[in-house]
Amino acid sequence: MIRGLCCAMLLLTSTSWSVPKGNDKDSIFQWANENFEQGDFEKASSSYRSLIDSGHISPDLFYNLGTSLYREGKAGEAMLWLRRAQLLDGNLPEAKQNTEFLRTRIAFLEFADDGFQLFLRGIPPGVFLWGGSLLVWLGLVSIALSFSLQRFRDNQTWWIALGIAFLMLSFVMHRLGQFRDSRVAPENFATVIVTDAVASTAPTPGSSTVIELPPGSEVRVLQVNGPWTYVDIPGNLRGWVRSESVEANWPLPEKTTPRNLDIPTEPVEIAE
Amino acid sequence: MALPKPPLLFLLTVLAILPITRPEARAQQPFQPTVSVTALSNRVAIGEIGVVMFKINGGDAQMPSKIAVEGLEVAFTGKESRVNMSQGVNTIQTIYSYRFRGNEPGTFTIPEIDILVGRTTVRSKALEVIIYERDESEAMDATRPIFGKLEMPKAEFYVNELLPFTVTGYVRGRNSLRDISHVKFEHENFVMKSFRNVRTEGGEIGNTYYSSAILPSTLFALQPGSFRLGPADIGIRVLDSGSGFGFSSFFSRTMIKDVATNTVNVTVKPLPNGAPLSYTGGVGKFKLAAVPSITKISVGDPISMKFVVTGTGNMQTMEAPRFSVAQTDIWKTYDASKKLEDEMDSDGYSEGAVEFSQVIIPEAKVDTIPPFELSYFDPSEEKYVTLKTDPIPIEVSADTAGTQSVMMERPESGSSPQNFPSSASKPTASYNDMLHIRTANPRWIATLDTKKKGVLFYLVQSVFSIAFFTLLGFGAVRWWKERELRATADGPRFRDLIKTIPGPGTTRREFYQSVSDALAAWKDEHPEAPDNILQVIDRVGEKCDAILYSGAGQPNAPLSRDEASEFRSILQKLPQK
Repeated sequence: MIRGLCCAMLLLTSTSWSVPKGNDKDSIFQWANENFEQGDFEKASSSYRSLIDSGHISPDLFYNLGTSLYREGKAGEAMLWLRRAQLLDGNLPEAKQNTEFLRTRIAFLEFADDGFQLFLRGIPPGVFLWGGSLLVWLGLVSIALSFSLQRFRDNQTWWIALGIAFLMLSFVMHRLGQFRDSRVAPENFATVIVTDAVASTAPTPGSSTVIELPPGSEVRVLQVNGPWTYVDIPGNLRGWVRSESVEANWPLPEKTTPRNLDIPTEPVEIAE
Repeated sequence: MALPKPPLLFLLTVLAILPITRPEARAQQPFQPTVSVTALSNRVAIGEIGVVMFKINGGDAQMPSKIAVEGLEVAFTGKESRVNMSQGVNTIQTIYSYRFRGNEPGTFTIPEIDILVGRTTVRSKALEVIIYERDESEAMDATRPIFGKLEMPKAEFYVNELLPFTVTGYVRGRNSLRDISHVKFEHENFVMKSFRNVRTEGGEIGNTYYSSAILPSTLFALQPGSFRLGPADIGIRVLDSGSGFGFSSFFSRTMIKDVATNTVNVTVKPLPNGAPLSYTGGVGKFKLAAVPSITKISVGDPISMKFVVTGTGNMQTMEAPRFSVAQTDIWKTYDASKKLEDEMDSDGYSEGAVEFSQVIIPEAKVDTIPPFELSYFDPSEEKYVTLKTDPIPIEVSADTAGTQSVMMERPESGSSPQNFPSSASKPTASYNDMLHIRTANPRWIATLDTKKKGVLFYLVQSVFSIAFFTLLGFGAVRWWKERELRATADGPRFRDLIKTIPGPGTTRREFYQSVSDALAAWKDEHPEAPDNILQVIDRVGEKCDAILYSGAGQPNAPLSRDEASEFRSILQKLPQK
């Protein structure tokens, strides 16, 4: 809360001609929208980012930030935030449409997920944990009942079979959860945010190029090794990219505001 | 008196000759090994395998694994020994086989070589072999059971011209050719497509039926000049005539035979000078179509041009079309990408298609996308042909609006009026710009940390674990109680009773009473025991009763050791639960 207020104060002090009417998140959001309408995309983007840095999460906020970044000429970062908006709301039509627009413009690389992977991605991660543990207990309780209570001992075979079925289902849930976490979950993916990114054959400056990665391209992070990141590239390719050229789709980094923002550090009194 | 002289002379002569003609004297001379060199055939076609044999009499020899002959590969393949008996003397003959193969025509000499046989060195004679070119007319040779043939439709063609050809394997007999295991056909000046299709046929060659497998492919030359193509090596899987136990179709075995085809001499002509600037490497006969991704844009917005080239010929060497006239400072162009899928490539007979995509950006306000040109060389006409697209009208402005893509195809010669579709087509979306931001108040999400387990998760786990362990404990207590109840209701068990039977020295009453109780328990525990065992039990029980209750059995007398062991042995033979 305090962080949010501080950020809001910083934003309020960053200009003398356009300030938010209040310091709540909705006011800052609307103020950022006004900046966008006036064509000051840089200011709009920094305002959206300040809300995100304050811990506010919203698909609309992410969508607006993506759109604003594109107007700034940062197509890679725009794609990243549009992806994040769709992670929060997979049916956000504006984000889908703008993604399609960027797809036609920059021809970035994307993984062709099959239906099964899309289905798994759509399931909240807690489902596998809850489902798996509940099924384990149901299986164990069914088997225990078949031995413990006379009423259940009459149909002991059926109860044991039911218990084994529950345990098997629990194993399947566990493996599906593992697969989702390691392959399908958004935490595994990153977006190329710079314009001149290339995947190299080795984590050394002079190594050969595997493929050029247009901004907005999607990669699967396999290993982060300091300034280099080893990634899985659409098209069954692998290569090393500079760590600063990619950013994970999820979770959000600690600070999303670029360091070179021109926001005053000293609080300034604001005249209404 | 002169008579004795002739016999003396004769004897002296005989004595003088004897040491020379005695067989013992001949046998003592050391045996001299010999070597002879022969070839199965001194005339072998290029690429085919010939065999040369070194026959050595007199034992094993040390032979080289390879014999160096310039232009000829000669390599050792194996040896075979046999013992010959001649005039009572055994000699060992060993045949060392070498295979040779030549890739150039000419006469080659396998040189004399020194061979160490035992401790003696012998020298073989030089052997001449001829490597000749088997041309297409000689390839169909009905005297050979298996052979291959390389066929080219023409012997003169241009650089980059796509030439279809076939490699065919022939095997004598119906259904004698099973399949083709491999084909090796390479030349550094030619790019050849891999053999993907096999067509099997059959027919008579010189009154003999042959099964054949035809492998079509294409090639094109990289440089002009005269070249000899082939021989191609074919691995043919044939029916092994020695297998099958007389049931050829069911138990038959196959084996792979390697054969070399004939060679073909070809002349590759250079492309004529004077190629247009828009010539990008295509040789054949083609058509060109161009499609812009959008036709209403702003200055600086990219248009993705899609070019589709269809036709017969070499599409692998072809590059993308270019502007007819240079568009410096009007249109910015990026490198085109090419998409040529194997299934869509021309095979020299049927038409193929190749796609090029190129991003172009208007840097000024223009009305049309200028014409693109693509030139190719037509080998049948022996001239360059230039294809040109029509100018494509576009609207370049600050405001953008959705429009449909336009497909235009221009035939090779002349122009035809545009055909419009007779019925309305469904409009498709165009993504010309980003949507505006969302201006309504956003939907804020409290948290997304769905992976965190939370108190509820642990609470549910606790409830289930308590329920499970309670049930387990309940079940365990129940089981223990049931076990005790069962033991009480059933009375003493046979297993326990035989342990309490007293030993020798106690009274007979005490002993027989215990035995009787044990037998009764056994009978209770085994209600369905076999009759013969029950009879034994009854007899032993009657004996116990007689001692205990008849009054004549001296029940108070001490039990003897023999008596105790006799009954104990009977009881121990009874099965226990």
